[in-house]
Amino acid sequence: MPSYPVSGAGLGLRRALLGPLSSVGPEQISFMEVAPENWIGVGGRLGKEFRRYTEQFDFLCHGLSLSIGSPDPLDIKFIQQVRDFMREHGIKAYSEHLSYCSSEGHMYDLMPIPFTEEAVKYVAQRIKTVQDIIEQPLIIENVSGYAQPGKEMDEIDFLKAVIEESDCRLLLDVNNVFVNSTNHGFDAKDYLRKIPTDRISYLHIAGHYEEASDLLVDTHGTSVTQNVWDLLDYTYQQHGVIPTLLERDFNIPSVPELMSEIDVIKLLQKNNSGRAGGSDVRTV
Amino acid sequence: MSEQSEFMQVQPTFIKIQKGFADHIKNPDVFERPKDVDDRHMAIYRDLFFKNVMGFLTGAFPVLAEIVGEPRWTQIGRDFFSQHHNKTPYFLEISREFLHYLEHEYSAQLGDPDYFYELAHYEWLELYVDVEPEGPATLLDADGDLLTGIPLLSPVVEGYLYQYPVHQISLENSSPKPQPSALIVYRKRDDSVGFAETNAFTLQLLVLLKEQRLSGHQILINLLQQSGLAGNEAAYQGGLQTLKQWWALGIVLGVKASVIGE
Repeated sequence: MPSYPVSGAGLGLRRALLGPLSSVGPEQISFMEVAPENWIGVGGRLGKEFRRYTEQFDFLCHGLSLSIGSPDPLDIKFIQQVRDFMREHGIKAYSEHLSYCSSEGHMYDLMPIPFTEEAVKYVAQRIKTVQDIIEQPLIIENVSGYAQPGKEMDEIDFLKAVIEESDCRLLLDVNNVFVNSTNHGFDAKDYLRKIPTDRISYLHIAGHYEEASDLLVDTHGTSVTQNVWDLLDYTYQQHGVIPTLLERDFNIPSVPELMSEIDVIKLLQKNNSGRAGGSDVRTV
Repeated sequence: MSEQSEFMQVQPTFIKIQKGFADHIKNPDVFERPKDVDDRHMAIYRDLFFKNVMGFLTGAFPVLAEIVGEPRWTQIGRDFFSQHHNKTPYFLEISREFLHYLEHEYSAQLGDPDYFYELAHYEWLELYVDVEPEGPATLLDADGDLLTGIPLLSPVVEGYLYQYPVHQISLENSSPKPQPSALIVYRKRDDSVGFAETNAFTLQLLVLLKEQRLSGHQILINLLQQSGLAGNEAAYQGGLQTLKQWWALGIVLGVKASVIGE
């Protein structure tokens, strides 16, 4: 029976949402997620508002600057600060992208790690270092990619190898699977079937931008498309009902509009409840 | 350097690929894109990264960006992104990295305003005062006597003497004459950011107040001594007026509360 750090349907908390979400409670949004890089070392009015949220909701950290595959050394002090931040706010788990965002300094966005055996070993070693510091499993996320430089194996095999080698957990981003299946021409359902069920900690779902019919960009700036909803449904069918978080970072709509997408997650979870591998769903 | 070049020799292939990928994103005019990636796909990365960095810079330095104008601002942004090694993992600190870049790496071009760094610093200061975490709280007597008690300051307060009136610079007033400007930026009682114009004399008062260990009276005596005004009653009264004014503004919150039984 898989165990999850949270349950139900969640929403990524942005600074722009602090005001709009002030009247929403945990019965509507089961859990939230923040980038620790936006909140560590932040006091004043923002720090106080944030505290009100972490006191009320279950929280996860979804990092952006760990740069787990980077040529640059791991920033140990930063990882310790993330750990302390999680303790201070009672944050349940830490997820990060299976990518890198620095090379001779931070670049603040995600680049693709070449899918090679050498890279698997390098990344797995660094994940273990992180896990030793945070004293819990790191949850890594499959990322959207627009290029696959130096590729020597398929993405799914790279992902599985890193998880096995490092003994970490997985944040499965369903939208990223769809985006990559379009950009790199593979079968999204086949990819989803190959994911080891017992490694999944939670799911992400989001909208993307269609640059061209064969080139999608993971912008988190639009509503979730129907084919991604279908893939979420398929994921539940394959792996059971899993806590799922909606990401919306740009063009943030009204709260009712956001809640209508959260409701779709809840509906799909309800429709799939009772499937093998599923956890209890307290939102139904 | 020798240590680094030694590492370069033994580094795995995928690391070399990653560095080449990153170098091209930072500076596509100098570094070619990886051979196995076509330009249409590489362009997605180039655009996402650069727009992201420009978003951070323009968000933190809106006045500067407007005054410098789009072409030059973009040029400076590209130079920052390609030359500066950002150490901070924290997004709100990118503006501090930019200040560091301006101090050490940026080279001024004809047409860049002389107050470039000072204006950037002032814009950064507003952000800093807004988000900097408070230190441990001290028990406060908000209505205590400012002369006999130890005055307590706002949890975040900074004062600087600028050579230009940076607080008055805007697109409409983009060529001010140099004019020493003592400016205090601080967190108000309601957590919003407050601004106060002052002078070099009272900036020194702020420095003494920051130590938060002497009574207001003793601080004023020391301030007068430092300024060669020992025994000047008018200057003493002027200093006291400033303390009271600062209390009204929320730069000074009150005095340290005396512990019962002390």
